[in-house]
Amino acid sequence: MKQPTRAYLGVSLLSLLLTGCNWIRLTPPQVNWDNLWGSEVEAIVPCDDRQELNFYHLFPRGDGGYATIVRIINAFNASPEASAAGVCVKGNGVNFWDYWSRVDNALSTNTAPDIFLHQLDESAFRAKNNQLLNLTDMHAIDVNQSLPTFDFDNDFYPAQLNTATFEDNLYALPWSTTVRVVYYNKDLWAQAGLTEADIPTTWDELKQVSGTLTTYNQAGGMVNLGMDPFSGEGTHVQQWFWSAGENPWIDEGDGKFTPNFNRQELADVINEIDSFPGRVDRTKLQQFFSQFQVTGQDPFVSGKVGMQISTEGLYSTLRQANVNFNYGVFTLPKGPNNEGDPVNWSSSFSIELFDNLRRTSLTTEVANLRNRGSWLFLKYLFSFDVQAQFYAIAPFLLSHRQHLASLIGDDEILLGLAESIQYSREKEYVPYAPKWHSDLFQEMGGFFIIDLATRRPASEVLQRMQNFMISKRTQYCTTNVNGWGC
Amino acid sequence: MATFKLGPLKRKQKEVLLGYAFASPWLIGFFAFTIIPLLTSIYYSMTNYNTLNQPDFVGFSNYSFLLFNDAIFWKALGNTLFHVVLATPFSIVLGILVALVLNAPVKGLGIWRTIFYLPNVVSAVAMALLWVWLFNKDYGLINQFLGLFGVESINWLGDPNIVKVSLILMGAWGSGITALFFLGALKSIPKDLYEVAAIAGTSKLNQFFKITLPMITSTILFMLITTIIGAFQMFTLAYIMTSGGPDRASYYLGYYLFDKGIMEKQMGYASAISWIMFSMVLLIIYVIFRTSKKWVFYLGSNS
Repeated sequence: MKQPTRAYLGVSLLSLLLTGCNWIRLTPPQVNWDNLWGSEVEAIVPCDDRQELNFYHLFPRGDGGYATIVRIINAFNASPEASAAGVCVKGNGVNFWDYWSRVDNALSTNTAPDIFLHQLDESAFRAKNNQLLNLTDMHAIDVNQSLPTFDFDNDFYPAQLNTATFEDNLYALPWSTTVRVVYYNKDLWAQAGLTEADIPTTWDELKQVSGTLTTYNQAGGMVNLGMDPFSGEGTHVQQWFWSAGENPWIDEGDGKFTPNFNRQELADVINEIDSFPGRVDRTKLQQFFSQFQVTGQDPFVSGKVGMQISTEGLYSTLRQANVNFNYGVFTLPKGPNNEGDPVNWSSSFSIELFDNLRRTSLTTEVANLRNRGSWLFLKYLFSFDVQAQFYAIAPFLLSHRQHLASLIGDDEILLGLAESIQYSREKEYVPYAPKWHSDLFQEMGGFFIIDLATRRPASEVLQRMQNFMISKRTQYCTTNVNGWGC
Repeated sequence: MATFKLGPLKRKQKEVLLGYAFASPWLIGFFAFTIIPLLTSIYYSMTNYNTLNQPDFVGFSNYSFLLFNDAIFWKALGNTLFHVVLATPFSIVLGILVALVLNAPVKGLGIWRTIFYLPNVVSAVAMALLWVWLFNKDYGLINQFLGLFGVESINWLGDPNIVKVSLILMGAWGSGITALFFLGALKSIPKDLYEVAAIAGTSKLNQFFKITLPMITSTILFMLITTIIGAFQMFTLAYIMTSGGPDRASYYLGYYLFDKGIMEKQMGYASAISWIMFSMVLLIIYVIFRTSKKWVFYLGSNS
C-alpha cells in the first residue's frame, strides 16, 4: 500500500503545481519576442511597494501591439507622477474574443480591473450599478487644484460624451469610434458619368444615383449594383429611422423608454428604402450577392457595387486587397423631404475606471488613492504621444478628436471617416432591451424573405417588434418592480 | 523517511479510500464546476440577478412569465422540439447505416473509417461556413447537384419553412462519431448467430432486423440519450449560419438562453430557461429509461 500512497501524493502534488496556486510562480518559457515581431519588448517595471492598478486591454502577449503596450505602461510606471501618486499599472492583455466575458466576469465577481475598455453604449448600465468611478468628480478635483486635465467639450464629440453621461455625471470616456459611412466606387461613377459633385445629400439623390449605377446584361441579370441600402451595415434599420428624423423610442427619462415602433412613419421609412432600384427584383439581387457569399469576398471589393454602407473596417479590407479601382466615402445623407439629419451609427469602445470604494477589502484612504491613480493613468492614456502609439497598433479611429485630426494626415478616406464622427449617434441604452437593435434585426428577417408569399410587410414587422418590446418590458419589470427603467 | 499510514483499516476499506483519493481531482472539479453551479442556478432562477448587483429573490415570477406570457420562449421551444424530434432519429439511422457500410468486408476499410470520422475533427465554425457555401441558393453545390435532376433551387437557409430541416440535414456531416459507436457494437455481435441464421435460410434483411438491430439496442439507447441532450443544446450552428432567422425560424432555446443571460445580463431569467430545459431533458430520459427494459437487449442477460 505504500507505493500507491506515494504515487497518489506525488500525483496530487504535481496536479496542484500544474493547476497554478498563486503562491507558486511558474516561469513561462523564455521567448525572444524581438525576433518574432521585430520590435523591442522591455521588461515590465516592478511596482515595489506602490499600489498596483490592473489595466485590462486588448493586446495579449503574442499580439503585434504587445511590445507597444508594455512600453506605454512602463513609461507611466517610471514617471515621477506615478511615483508621487503611489501607484503603478499592471497590464492584462486579453484576446479580443475572450475580452468581453473576461471583463464582465471580473466585474461581477468583485475582482474588477481598475481601468478597462468596454462598450460605450452600455456604460450607463455599469454606472447605474455603482461600478464606475465618477469622472466628473475627478475632473472637478483637477480643476480645483489647477492640475492639467481634459477639456471634455473640445476633446470629444458631444454625442459620445452624452452616451457616457449618466444622471448628469460622466462615467466613461469614448476611446475609439466606429463609423458607418457610404463607400463609393469612383471608377463606376465615372463610367456612369457621375462626379464628386453628384455625391448625394438626400435620400432622393442617393436613390437616383443608385439607379444610374445599376446595370443589367441582356439576359436580365444584374451586372453592377448601384446600392442595396439593406445590405452590409445598412441592414440595421435604426440608422435609417434616425436619418429620417424618426425615433422608435420615447425617452421618458431615468432609463424609461416606451417603444414606439408601430407607426406608419417608420413603415414608410422601410418601404422607401426598399424601393431603391436594385431592390425592385429581389431574386436578381439575391443572385448578385450569392456570388460573393460563395467566394467570401466583400461585394464592394469586387468593384461591381457603386455604393455600400460599411465601417472603417472596409478601408482596411480594401487596402489589403489592393483593389484596382478608386474609391471614396461620404456620410449617410438625411432622409426624404430633406427632413432628419446625416447619421453615423457609431458603436464605440469606452474606457472606464472601476470605483475602488466598492472593494470592501480596501480602506477608504487606499481606495481613494487608487481612484486618483487610475484617473492619472487615464489622462496619461489620452496624452498625444500615447494616443499616437495606440493609433499605430490598433485599427480603430480614436475618439479624441484633436489627436485624431493630427494623426490622420492627408489620407482622403480617413479624413472622410473622421468627418462623419461629428454625426455619430449611439443607440439608446434601454434597460429591459439592451440589444434592441439585434431584436429589430431579427424581426426584420421576416421582411427580408425573398418569397413574397411568406414575406411580412413592414407594418407587421414593426407591430411584432412593438409587441416584443412591450413583452420584454413586462417581463423585466415583473421581477424589477422598482427597477431602473420600469 | 517517515511513512504514511492509513491506520487500522481493513484492506478493502483502504482500497476504497485510495480509489476515492485518486478520483478526488475529478470529484473536486465535478462538485466545484458542475454540482455547485447547478444548485446555485436553482436559486438564481428565482432571482433577478443582473451579474453586477446582489440578486433579489422574486419567487417563481421568472417561471410563471416564461410559461404563461413569453411568446418567444414558446417559439424557441417549438423550434427546439422540432429539431430534437427529427434530428435524433436521423442521426441514429444514418449512424447505423454508415456503420453497416464500414462493417462490410471492403478494401481500404481503415481509410473509409478515417474519411467518415474526419468531419468530427473540423471546428464547428469552419463547418458552419462550409455549409453556408454548400447551401447557397444560387451557387451552392447541393442546388447545383439537384439542378441536374431538374429540381428548382431551394433557399435552404433563407426560407423559414426549410431552414430547420437544412440544419438537421447538416447532421449527416457529423455522423462519423455516431457510426463509430455503432461499428463497435456491430463488431461485438457473435459471428455464430449469423452463421446459424444463414443455415436456417434467413434473408440478410431478416438477419438485420432479428439479430443485428436487437444486439445493438444498448448502443442505440446510449446514442439516443446523448443525441437528445445534444439536440436540446442546439446553438452554435444557428448562431453562425442564420443568426436565428429568418423570422426566428431557427431560434432555439439555447439561443434564447444565450440572449437573455449573456446579451441582456438577466441571469435569473436565463437560469429559469435552463431549468425548464433541464427538466424536459430529464423527463424524456426518464421515460426512455423506463421503457428501455422492453426494447433494449443485453447479451447474456435473461431478458
